[in-house]
Amino acid sequence: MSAAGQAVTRVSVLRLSLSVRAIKVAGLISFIVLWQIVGSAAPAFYSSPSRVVVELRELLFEDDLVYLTLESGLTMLIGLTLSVVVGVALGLALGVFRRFSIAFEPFLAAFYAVPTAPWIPLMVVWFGIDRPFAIATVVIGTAVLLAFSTAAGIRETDRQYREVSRSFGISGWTMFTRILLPGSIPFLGAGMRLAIKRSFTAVLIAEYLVGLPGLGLVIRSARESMATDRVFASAVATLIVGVALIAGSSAVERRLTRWRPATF
Amino acid sequence: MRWAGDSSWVLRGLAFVALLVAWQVASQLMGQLLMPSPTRTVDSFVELITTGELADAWSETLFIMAVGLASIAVIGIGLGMALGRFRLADTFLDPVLTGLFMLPKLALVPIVALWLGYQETAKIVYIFLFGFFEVLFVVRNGVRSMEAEYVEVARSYVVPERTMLLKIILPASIPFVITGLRLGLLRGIEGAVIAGFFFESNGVGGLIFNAGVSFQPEILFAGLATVAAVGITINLVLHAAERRVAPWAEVSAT
Repeated sequence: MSAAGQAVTRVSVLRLSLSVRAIKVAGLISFIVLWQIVGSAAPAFYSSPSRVVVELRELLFEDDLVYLTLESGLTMLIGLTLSVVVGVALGLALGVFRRFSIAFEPFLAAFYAVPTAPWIPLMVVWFGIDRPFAIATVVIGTAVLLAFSTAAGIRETDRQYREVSRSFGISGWTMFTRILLPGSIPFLGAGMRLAIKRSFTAVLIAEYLVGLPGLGLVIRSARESMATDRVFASAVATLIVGVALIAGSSAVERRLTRWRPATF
Repeated sequence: MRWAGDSSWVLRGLAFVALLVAWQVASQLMGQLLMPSPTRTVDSFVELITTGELADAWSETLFIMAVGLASIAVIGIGLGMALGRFRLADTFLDPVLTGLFMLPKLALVPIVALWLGYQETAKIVYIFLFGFFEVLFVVRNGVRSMEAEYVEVARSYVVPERTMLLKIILPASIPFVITGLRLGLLRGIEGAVIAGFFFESNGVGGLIFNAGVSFQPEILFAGLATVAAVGITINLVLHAAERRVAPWAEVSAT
């Protein structure tokens, strides 16, 4: 294609994406306007954007929203760190030792099939009602996921680089530390993104269930007060934190996969 | 496959025994009160079955799950197909739908309670919200990807809209629909358990919740085991269906 032709295509693509963006903005604005109208008619039932903004300000400046969000974040951070240690160790064992994976993978898959929330009461029985039980919930909910993605990374890297490594005389420990371990990191990245999302949900439910200080407690107190505006404001606050977290976790994934193209 | 076949089942059997031994040792170290032994867990499981407690809990849960999931299937698949075909409506609704998809569903508990109370209706709606977006987005993306592959060709042969829908779009979207349903069902189980925690505490969620409150880990174990069994069954059945109906398709989005 000529340079001029390329420029024309680029302009039309730009125009298309601009109009897509305009339609999306229009959709969002219509939703907000509609909510405002419906909410003004029955505020006790639907609240409204303007009321939510007022309530959000109160949550921020009077009810320690930032502090509580950071509390949830700290629980997630500790839990995910432990989970990476446990998950990567387990994943390496699964990926490297074939008999180990044949023996234990079905049981881990069964464990993986249980959603995280039902574990929470057991974690309370074992670890009490302070932060450790919430941390344990994060580990229970994400360690096997991380193990599976690490193991997949090891296997895939081994499959692709075994022959070429062998022909360069690389084997054993060097193969493990120089080829398999770095090769599995992009796969861990994909697992991490999912793990961050899961751990957020797990921490919220854990906090809500026992009233541990955190974002989950904000939702719980909104429900207990049954004040409509507070209920909706806490949902909006959770959404904002959640979206920020998803953006952050995509960045983590990109960072972990950066050194290697997506298809290889 | 050196370890395929019989020998791998031997390995799995050995692993199972090893896990049982580890469980027994753990229960002796932690005490029966925190970690009931395998035999004690089986005893309490049998008791839950004979008293009918487990059946009662699961019949309640399966009922609300069935209603919730049926509505997820109908509305999710229908709307997903519509949005996949009509680009303008899809773009317009995208920010709101994506926002609702991203919203941690726990934040919806107070809203659902506010609107519908704590009984069955509230639980069904909650399960719906838990699994709906999963189905919607998988189906929508599937139909949208079809647009380039088949619909353009069909259009250039001037296939009428009705034939297009019945002969092209519906059959070609089956794999996405099954994948979407599998994800929606798995999310639905989670939603049903959580609904038992936060709404009226009956069903299997209530069973687990109350076992935690009354400090009976053996009942917790039994409840967790049944949740796992249902989850695994759904996963296996729908995975098999996926492979059977669409062996060419690779749509697994986790």
